[in-house]
Amino acid sequence: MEGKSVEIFCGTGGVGKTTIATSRACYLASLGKKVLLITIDPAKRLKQLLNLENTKDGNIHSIQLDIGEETISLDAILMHPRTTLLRSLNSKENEGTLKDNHIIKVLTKPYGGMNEIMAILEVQYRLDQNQHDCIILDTPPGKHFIDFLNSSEKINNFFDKRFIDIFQYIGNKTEESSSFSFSKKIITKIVSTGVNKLLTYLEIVTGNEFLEEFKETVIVLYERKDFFLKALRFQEFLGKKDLSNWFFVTSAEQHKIEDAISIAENADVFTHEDKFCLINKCLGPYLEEWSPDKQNQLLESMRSTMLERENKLKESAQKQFGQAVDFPEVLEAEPSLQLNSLIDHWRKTLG
Amino acid sequence: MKDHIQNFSLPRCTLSKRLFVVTGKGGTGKTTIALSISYALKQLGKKVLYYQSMPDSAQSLALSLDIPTLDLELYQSTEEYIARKLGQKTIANWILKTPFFKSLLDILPSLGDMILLGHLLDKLQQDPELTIVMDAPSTGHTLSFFESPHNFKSIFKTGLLAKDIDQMFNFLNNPESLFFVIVSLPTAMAVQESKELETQLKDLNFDGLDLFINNYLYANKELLKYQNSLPEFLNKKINLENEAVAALSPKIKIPFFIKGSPEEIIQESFPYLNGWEAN
Repeated sequence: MEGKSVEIFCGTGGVGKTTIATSRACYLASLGKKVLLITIDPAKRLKQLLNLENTKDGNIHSIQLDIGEETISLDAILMHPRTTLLRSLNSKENEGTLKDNHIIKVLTKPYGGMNEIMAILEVQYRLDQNQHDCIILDTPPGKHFIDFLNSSEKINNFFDKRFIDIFQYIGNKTEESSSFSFSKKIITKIVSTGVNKLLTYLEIVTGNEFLEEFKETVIVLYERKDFFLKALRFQEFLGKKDLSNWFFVTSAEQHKIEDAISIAENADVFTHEDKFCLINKCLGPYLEEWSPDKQNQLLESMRSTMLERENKLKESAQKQFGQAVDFPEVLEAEPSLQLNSLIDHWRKTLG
Repeated sequence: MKDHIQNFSLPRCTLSKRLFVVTGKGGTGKTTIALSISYALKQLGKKVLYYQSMPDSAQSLALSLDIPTLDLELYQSTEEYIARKLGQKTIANWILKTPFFKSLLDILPSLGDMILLGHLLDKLQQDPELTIVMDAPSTGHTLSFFESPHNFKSIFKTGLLAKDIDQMFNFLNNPESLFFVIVSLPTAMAVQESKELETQLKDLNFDGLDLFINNYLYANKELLKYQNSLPEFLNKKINLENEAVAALSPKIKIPFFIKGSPEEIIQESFPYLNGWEAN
């Protein structure tokens, strides 16, 4: 399976998505490609393995990993939404404002709700820099990432031209806003959209201090509207077959496969035919080799129940995705050994 | 089965909790555990509501187990909330209709989280008999959910909301009323992550908290009868699981069930909560 400019790994938590994405990055790196892995909140042990343990800065770190006989190098970024946002919004006049703004601080906390858009902005920024052959994006877990892609309309609504004009007027940011005819136009808009009234009520509920900061935030965000809207257009890029691969990672359990299918269905508008279902933690290869004592009915029924169930799941994944690849469960505790085994699997079955 | 129910009991400290939040890494079986707790409380005659913050198929599972559910919808909750704050329904209705507010709510999920949380607490205050079991979203989103009052406290310093957030704080930081259950799987990574979550919640001053392990091979009594005839890969798996579980020392261990429908698994799981002291 050839590496593309961007490879997206989606999936719910607990299926080993980050480990699989990391193994893909290592595999591509072992082929001599210059790879960048962008990950969000990996488990501590994986972080240790990737040497990302004490990095909170959202910058590129070069990693050397010993995989079997060879040493591979790749770059990795541990997502830091605040870094991404501040870099993206950076301009001299609003730098100070942004740093001290509480709302921005809260929003860009690791769980502040802006992980998805920041992940996209980060990929876009790194693509523009053009320093890597492949960018592997380990998306925030669950369906939030797809929800985000689906929410372009919401973001477009937020950047509605009428709101922007009003906030520019309220914030007195433009020279134009002091002219009489402009004010008149704006006042008509304020009345018709109800923003002013809304702010009056908001002030009762939230207090004045918040309101001032809120206006400031909205104005700053509005000033960088083009930049956010550019992130929305990124979907088109992801939808191109020659530029991207989509991987939906799941594990060999009933509800996990259902989750993967529903995520993939929601992502249908963005994806193309190069989408793969990766079924992790399969016990099939072990179960097939196991022949319990014929006398022991419990064990025999356990074996056949487990095998049947797994095969059914694989079938339904195959049907849905067209391309399903299974990864056997790695019975090793060490993340480095797990990683080795997964890289090997990419090499053997998919190389 | 009947036997289980007859001998099943929970101590007062568990029964008196008002809100259980069942969380953990994705796919650890939070829904199974949350429904098992709801089911257990209901068997013992408690008035309980199961609440799933991101509703999916579990709603119908709850229904088929005869567990009542609480359904909150964000826009509606927000409207009711604002109406109460301003004392005026029409204005709240109007605010929710303004395109600007709608789009604000859409791009600020944590604002919505806080409103839903406020709503949940209102329900509990209105009915002192009620216990809510919340099937929370996975780790990261649970943190953002329960961090939201913390976050917003730093934003809203004055105004009506600030007072409300204080009330929320008092309720949330009282282990007598709010109790977290972190569900983990018997793997090294899941255990590590559960411990991280435990630390993060304690850092947020949530002290009422227990760790559960789910899908644990070694807790399956029937399987253990044949321990000596198990194949190497299963023994290896059991060893790895035991190591991981030892590092977690969970309060409750729910076995891996070889087969069964989701309903059956919940009915099989809940007796393992017998005697659980939530403190």
